This record gives sequence, C-alpha cells and structure tokens, in this order.
Amino acid sequence: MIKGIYTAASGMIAAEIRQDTITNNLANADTPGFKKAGTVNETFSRMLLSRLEGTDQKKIGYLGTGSEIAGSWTDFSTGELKETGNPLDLAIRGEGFFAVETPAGERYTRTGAFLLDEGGYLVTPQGYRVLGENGPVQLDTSLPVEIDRKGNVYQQGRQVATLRLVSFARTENLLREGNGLFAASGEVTPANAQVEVLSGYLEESNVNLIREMTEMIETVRYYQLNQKLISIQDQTLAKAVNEAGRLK
Amino acid sequence: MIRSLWTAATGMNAQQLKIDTISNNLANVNTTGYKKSRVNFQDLMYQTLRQPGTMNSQGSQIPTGIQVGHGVRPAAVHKIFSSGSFQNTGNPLDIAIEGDGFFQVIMPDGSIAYTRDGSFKLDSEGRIVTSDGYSLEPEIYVPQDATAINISADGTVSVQRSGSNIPETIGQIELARFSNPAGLRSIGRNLYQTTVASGEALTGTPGMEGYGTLAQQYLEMSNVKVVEEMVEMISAQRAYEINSKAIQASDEMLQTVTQLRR
Repeated sequence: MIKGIYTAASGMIAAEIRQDTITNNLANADTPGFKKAGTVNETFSRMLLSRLEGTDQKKIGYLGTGSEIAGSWTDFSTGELKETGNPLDLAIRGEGFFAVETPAGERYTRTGAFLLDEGGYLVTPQGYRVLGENGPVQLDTSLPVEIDRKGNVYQQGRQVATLRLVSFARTENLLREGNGLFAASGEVTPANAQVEVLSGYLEESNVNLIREMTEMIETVRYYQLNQKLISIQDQTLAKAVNEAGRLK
Repeated sequence: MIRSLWTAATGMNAQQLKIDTISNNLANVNTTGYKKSRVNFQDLMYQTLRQPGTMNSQGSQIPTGIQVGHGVRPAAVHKIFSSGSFQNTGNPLDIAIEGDGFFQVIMPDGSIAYTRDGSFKLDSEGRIVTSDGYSLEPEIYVPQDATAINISADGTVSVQRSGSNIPETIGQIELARFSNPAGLRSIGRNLYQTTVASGEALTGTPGMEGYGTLAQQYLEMSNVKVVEEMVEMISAQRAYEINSKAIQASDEMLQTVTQLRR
C-alpha cells in the first residue's frame, strides 16, 4: 500500500517506547538511587529511488523510510542527597558503586538503604549481602555502627570492615537489572580516592520532573502528529481504492 | 514550538535552583557564621538565523540580525561574605571577627579548613577546638588550673592561673585572608576549603592591615535577611509559574498543529 503509512507507524511505535521509558522514569522519581533512562531514535535505512524510462535508469534521490529506537542510555549523574539520620543509610559522593552478592553473581548499586539481618550481615532490602574488602560485611547487631567517609565500618571505635567501592571505565556497559542493581560486562576497578561515603544520607532519584514532563509533552504531540499522518494517508488511499477508475 | 518547550523548561529548572538556594539560606538563618548564597543566571547560546550587518540585495547593510535564544542556565552560586550581626553570649570561648578574616582549623586528615564560626570549646586536654572537635590552628592549650581566659582584640590568648595575679600568655590566634573569598569551597559544618579560584591563604594577626579584630564573648550570627529571602522566594515562584504557562502555551499551539487537518 502507501509507504507513508508504515513510515508514520514506525514513528508511533518509537514514540510509544519513548513514552514507556519516560513513565518508568516518572514512576521512579522517588526511588533512592534510581538512575533515569532515555532513548535515542535513528532513521531506518534510506531507499534509493530511480526512475525507469525505457532502458535508461535515472536516480532521483533518497527516500527516508521511518524512525526506530536505536537504543536506550542510562544517565548516571548524581541525585540529590536526603538526610535520614539512619547510620546504615549510605550515599556515595563521586563516581562509585557499592558491591553486593546475589545468587546470580556480583552486582553493583548506588542505592545505599542497607539493613542488618538476623545473622548481622549488612544486606540490601532484598536480602543481598553487601560486600566489603574481605567478603560480605558482618556486624555485631548489639553494638552501634559508624561508617566513615572512606567506607570504613567501626563498631565501638574498632574497625570491623571496609566497604568495597568500585567504579567503571565505561558506565555505558552496565546492564540494568531491577531492584537498583547493575551488572557489569566490562572491567571493574576499585573506586578512586575522591569517592566518599556519607552515612545518614540517601541519594535520591536523579529524575528531573520538569525535563520528563516536557519530554512527555513532546512525545505525545509527536505521537499525535504521526497518527494524523496515518489518518490523512488513509484518506488518500481510500480515494485511490474507491474512486480512481470508478465508472461513473 | 519544540524549542520554546525546552526554553521554558530551562527557565523552570533555573528557578528551582534559586528556590533550593533560598531554602538553604532560610534553614541556616540561625547558624553561627553562616554566609548566604546567591544564584547568578546567564542566558544560553543563541541560534543566529541571520547575522547582523549582512548585505541585502541592494548592497546596503541590514542593521539588525535574527537571533533566537535557548533559555537560561545558572552561572554561579556563590556566597556573600557580608558581616552578620553580633550576639553577646558571655561565653569566654566565643569569638567574633569584626572585619575580614577566617579562623584556621585543623581537619582530621591534617589539612587546614577555614571558618567564621567562633564558638570554640575545650577538649579533654584543654586544647581549644571547634564544636566538631577540630583543633584551632595554631594549637593553644589552656592549663587545667586556669580560672579565666582572656582573648584580646589582636588575638593574644592569656589566662589567669589560680594563685597568681599576673595573666599568662598561652598563645596567639592567627587569621587567614583570601584574595577571592567567594571562590572558597563550602564543605559543610560551617567550614570552607581553599581552591585554585580562592587563592592561597594569607595569615596574619588580627588588627593588622586588612585583617579584622577579635571580639571575645560575641558570636557572629548568620548574615541571612529573612525579608530579603522571602521577597526573592516570591519572585522565583512567580517566574516558575510564568515559565510553566509558556510550556502550556507551546503545548496548546502544538495541539493546534495536530488538529490542522481533521
């Protein structure tokens, strides 16, 4: 049928995926440690049009064939810090991640809302153990805990563990796994000395509501425009099918 | 139309930052030695659709061009180092600086931080420290049998020991000055650190040329003026609202475009 209908439909599909990403960002606007995602569009390959005149082929030019989502990216900028006063709430200042142990292997996170389980292990709300330099961090639940800016864990003045802080050369290679966890596919290096751990603070979501709403307005209008395009082309097609060649 | 959407969004973001700064100022309206922050904005780059001064077809120069802006961004959030009001506390270790200068304080890692907060205390060894336990630089130890501590305007610390009428000098407080105090980095806890922009610290005795004098038993309060901050807050809130109206208007115009053809 008319190529334009599929071109406009590809635009609508791309807009839908973008809208899904934006609504996920907005739904997580209050999630500590959440890193917002964005999508990137790219055009489909162009088609070369030529005019056939007998044996002579004349190239006219290129025709675009629509748009698709090329990929999504994660924005690792730091969110605002919220003071909670809970010594086990940790926020990282700088480029670093906490390391946690999951059944699927080692994962990394920025969400520092940790708890102590019955065995005294420092765990995430899902129960994954937080890793220190010498394995999972285990503390005495009867004593108060103090964590300094370098990630050293003290109980009653005695250092019992150091939190493992890592950073990545290329954050683009981190895969999102849900629950605030990221899986690494590239090299994992220890975080540099600039990275600090702030105890009693939580890093909030880095979603900027104004930007997301503006992007949503843009995406909705983009979707509407493409929908209008389909509708207009449908009418053109209706003319071609129903009226062209009608004997009257 | 899409451009005006994003331009208005930058406006809203900028006003959000201004409100954040104002609420920090208001939260610290009673903090000793606090210096209020100010946000400065600047306009973003312009897209030149026609360069001013281009020649038209008759060979004469067009006097103006066509340039469209893209919004606003914060240029600086800096501290205003005007003096706060002084409060008489009667506490012998409370010191206010009348004029320029900062107290020097030794951080746990050995580096020096600077502060205007003069509410000092004594630690278990009799050393003069801040409320966080960081020692004053240079370190001054007050002997256990001291009955009165006196700090003169030029920073000389002397004590009256029991059994003696003559005051004994135990140390000298030095102040630090900077060529660009607005370039100091705030690290919280009323402390500042030097940066490349602030310049090196120049130390000297209080009362010397360019340095303020010390006033014992006084504390310098925050230099935040509540009325000023409230007015700025109203202005920022209205600017935020107006920018949101611009977004709504652009959105409605976009809607009109989509409805051009039923």
